[in-house]
Amino acid sequence: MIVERYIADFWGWLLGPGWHDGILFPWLLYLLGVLVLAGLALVVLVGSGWVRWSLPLTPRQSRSLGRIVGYGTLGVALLVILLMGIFLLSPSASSSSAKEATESSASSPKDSAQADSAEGVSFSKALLRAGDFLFGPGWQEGTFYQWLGMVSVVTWGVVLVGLLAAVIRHGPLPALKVVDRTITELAEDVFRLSPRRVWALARLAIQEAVRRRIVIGFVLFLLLMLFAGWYLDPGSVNPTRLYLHFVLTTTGYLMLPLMLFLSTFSLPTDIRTKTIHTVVTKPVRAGEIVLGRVLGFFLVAAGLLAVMGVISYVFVIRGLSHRHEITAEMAAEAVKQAQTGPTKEFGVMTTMVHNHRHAILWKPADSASSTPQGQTPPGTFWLAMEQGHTHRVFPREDGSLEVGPPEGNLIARVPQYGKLQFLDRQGRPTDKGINVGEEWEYRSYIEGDTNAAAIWTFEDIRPERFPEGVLVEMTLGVFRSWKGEIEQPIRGSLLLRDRTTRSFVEVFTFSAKEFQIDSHWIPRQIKGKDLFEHFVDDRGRLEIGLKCLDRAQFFGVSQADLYLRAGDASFVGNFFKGYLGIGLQVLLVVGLGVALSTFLSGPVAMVATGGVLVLGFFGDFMYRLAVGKTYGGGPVESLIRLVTQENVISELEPSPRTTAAKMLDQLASGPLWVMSKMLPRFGDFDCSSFVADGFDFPAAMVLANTANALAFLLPVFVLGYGFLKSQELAQ
Amino acid sequence: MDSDIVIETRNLTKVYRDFWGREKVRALKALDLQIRRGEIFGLLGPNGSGKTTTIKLILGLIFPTSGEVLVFGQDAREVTKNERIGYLPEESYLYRFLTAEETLDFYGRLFNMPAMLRRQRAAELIEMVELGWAKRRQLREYSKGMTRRIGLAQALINDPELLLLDEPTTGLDPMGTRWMKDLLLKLRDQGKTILMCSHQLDDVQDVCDRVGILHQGELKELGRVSDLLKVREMTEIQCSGLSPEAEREVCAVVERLGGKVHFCGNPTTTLEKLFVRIIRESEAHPGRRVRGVLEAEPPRTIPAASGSQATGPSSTGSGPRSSSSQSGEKPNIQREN
Ligand SMILES: Nc1ncnc2c1ncn2[C@@H]1O[C@H](COP(=O)(O)OP(=O)(O)OP(=O)(O)O)[C@@H](O)[C@H]1O
Ligand SMILES: [Mg+2]
Repeated sequence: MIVERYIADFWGWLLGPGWHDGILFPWLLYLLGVLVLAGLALVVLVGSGWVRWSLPLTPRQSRSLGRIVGYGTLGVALLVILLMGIFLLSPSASSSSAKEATESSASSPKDSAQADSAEGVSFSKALLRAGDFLFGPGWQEGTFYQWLGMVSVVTWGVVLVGLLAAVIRHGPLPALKVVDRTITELAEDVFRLSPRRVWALARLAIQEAVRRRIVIGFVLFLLLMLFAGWYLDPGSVNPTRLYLHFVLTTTGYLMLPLMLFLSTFSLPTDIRTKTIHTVVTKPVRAGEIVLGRVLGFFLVAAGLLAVMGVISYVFVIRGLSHRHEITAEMAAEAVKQAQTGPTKEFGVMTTMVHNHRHAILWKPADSASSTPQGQTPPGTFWLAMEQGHTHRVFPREDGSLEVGPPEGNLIARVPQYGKLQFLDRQGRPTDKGINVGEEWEYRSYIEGDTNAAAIWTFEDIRPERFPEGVLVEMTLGVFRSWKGEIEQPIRGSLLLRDRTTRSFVEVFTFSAKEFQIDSHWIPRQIKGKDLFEHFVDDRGRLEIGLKCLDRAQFFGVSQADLYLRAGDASFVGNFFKGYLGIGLQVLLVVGLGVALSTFLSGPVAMVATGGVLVLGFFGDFMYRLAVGKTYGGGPVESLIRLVTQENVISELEPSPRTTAAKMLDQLASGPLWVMSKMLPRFGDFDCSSFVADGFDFPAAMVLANTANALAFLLPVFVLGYGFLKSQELAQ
Repeated sequence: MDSDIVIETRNLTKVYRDFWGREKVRALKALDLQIRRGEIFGLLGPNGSGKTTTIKLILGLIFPTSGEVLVFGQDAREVTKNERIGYLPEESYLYRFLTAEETLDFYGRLFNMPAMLRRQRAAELIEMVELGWAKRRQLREYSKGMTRRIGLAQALINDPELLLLDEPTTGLDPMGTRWMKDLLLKLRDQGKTILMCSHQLDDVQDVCDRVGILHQGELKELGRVSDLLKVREMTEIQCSGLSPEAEREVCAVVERLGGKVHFCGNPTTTLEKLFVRIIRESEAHPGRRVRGVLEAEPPRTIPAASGSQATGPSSTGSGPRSSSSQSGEKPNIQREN
């Protein structure tokens, strides 16, 4: 019987309840994803190969074609720059509105993610969202256009700088020739790329990685896992989060340096040992060398991630796995208590494992009539949730219970977010609550025992989606003023607005749990009224209110602090998205590493790539610095504060020094802005906290991230290409 | 443009600079060179004279400071020219973590060769360079000569029209050297053009049609080997079957006709030929000590003059080109004065 259950577990593990909920499907999907990415590269290659084979061009023809494409691209870039200039300078779009536009799109990935989850996930919607993110509501607001503009400016910048350098080196006329040749050949090379050569170089990179260094990283990973098995505490408050966070961050922190090392040292080593001589004296194009390396290392990383993912998954399952014991006496006691009411305060508990026990609960079967004395009457046992999980129980012959593996801890909630508004103490609508003093707190507060309330409006609430009522989940911040009693939990109430009377009806009261997710059901029937008939309006909107009941105490809320749990996505799918995120980060590192190593020596390229990586993590901060949204002003101003030990809020005294500092900051803001826009936001690719906290990572964000990564890689690739091409490799 | 000219350099100059652009070495000075289809051209010169620099310029691995290089009539930086070129670098710069088979397969892919053709070429070449027994071993385990051989195979993978060989015989044993020279001649006979550089003078002499001599980046001498090496004021007679008396008589005749006999006696062979013969014998009869070869060479017949090439009027091969494919010794009559 046990064996059967294990087999069932295994199939469940492999295929899940639906065939696509288990581990198999996501990993097939992962494979597919990797293949699609590699395929995308191959499509470009094969396309170019097709051009080559189907139009056998003479060298002269291909040269002219290259010239047309090259200068055509430059022309388009110039056009984009001009259009951008006109837009930025035109009076209708003052600089502030332009800034706002860019700001809104800068934060758009997160917005779109939230908005997306607000509508639940459907793939077409996700695509639509991604489209919105790329192209924006107005043409100039989409990230795509910003990217286009940025790339155009960079392209022209590089061309002009290159021209200048060439003029200094060779004099004006030969310089023009050099630049002309570079532009032409670059374009020409695109349709001369050969998939076979790129694949050969990719294979070489893979072989290099496999035969030389990769094993070390891998062994390190396994060792870490073994070690961690000893030190991670499965009895902590939220072991699931701990384990998931651990495996995801470990994988990331191991993979990124490893790939950084591999990708930045590969080309310089080839140049140093001169093996590159035998390669570039074959009909290989510079682009193929860069592309092949990036592809090869990415595939290495993808393979490693796949293996690490499976190992991590097993590690998490095994780490969290435990069984409690329930003896026949305990079971009988639980039944007795269920029939006669509780005799002990906490009910009957299982044995203690991983620092917790579950209450044993029993419900009589409906047809429970007569049972012979001394036998357990028919009914169902189940265990209460503890540490975010429960177990299934199965009665044995001897009256004791067999406990299954933990369930319900590995989830991927799909939250539906609403729009947040507030009522002030007098019950008048405002758009903000109270600030309780912490300046950068993202939550607003509502005061207890007043008319203050937070109101979320949810859209698209239909009986088909919520047949049994609505599951509400909250993560509330609590602020206790000194007047209240510190020890006691703070109570609040949840309200629904009646669609006809527009007044609020209390659904239930609760004690706030801080630092945890607090789930409550709003049933179909509320005080005799049907949810959909009396509370949800014709357009499918539902308003949920929250009040604090205790005097002089406060609840802190933000938009995302109360959501409807619209459903659950596949956890394994989400886990896989976590690894995909790492994969994208690796792709960026590898692309950048290879590109920079075309002209920097190994260690320097490594430091440079690492620098970009770190700066990329602070991209958001740099952006805020650039647009003056940080406390304490720009870099120079904050330096002054640092030296003078001034706090960050108060205005500096007006003095020439302050003015100068502000001017310098103004100057610095330009480059900072550009940098913040150009560097990839590495942090945005990391979705480990989504996975660890049990929230589904929206598909739209996966798409947006992928687009982001590819968009960043394109100019980086051209950079590497250009340097490799213009360099004397035999120096 | 004359399609018979495969490589042409015009006023080719290369100055190596340091990071700051300051001049370090003037490695090549105004080189004018034309290499024609179907010839073996040897570039000679002492260490550091600019031979490798020239080859790298031709390959587009480095760019000329001034002047230009045309290969097949195209600029040397053109990538497409590489499809018709094979290059054996100074040392075999190959990926040490690949096996011989993988190496050839890899370079075959770089030429966009389909799998069938790659496999076939690789098998042929491994057979040709006699590495069949080690083809599954990583190159890191290879000896110097083995690496050299696989390097050559790599250079031939695309059946190139033009071969650029940087010191092809270094690291090879005498058998290998002989084999390499035979191979070069065979390739030449197939119509390929070969540019090799070396300071192994006898190698160059054995195979090259024309040579150029570089010194400190300047071309000092250029011409056909046969013309350059002909010693016009000497006559050489090689004959067999003469008794010592007959020999004396011939000498007397020469002197009577106004000639001067510099050397008369048994010729010496070269150590190379001796070595080759011993190895061949030993391969024919494994396990037996090869006898008779050393004894056949009386010590007295190794005169001081013929040992050093610089002082003797003519070195080992005295013909226009001594075909080294022809085995056995070639008698060399010299008489000490
Ligand atoms: N990368 C380089 N940087 C600076 N100088 C160099 C470089 N490569 C070669 N040289 C210099 O250029 C000159 C010619 O070198 P090259 O390698 O062409 O000589 P070579 O004729 O091939 O010599 P060898 O017979 O030793 O191989 C030498 O003085 C050398 O020091
Ligand atoms: Mg050399």
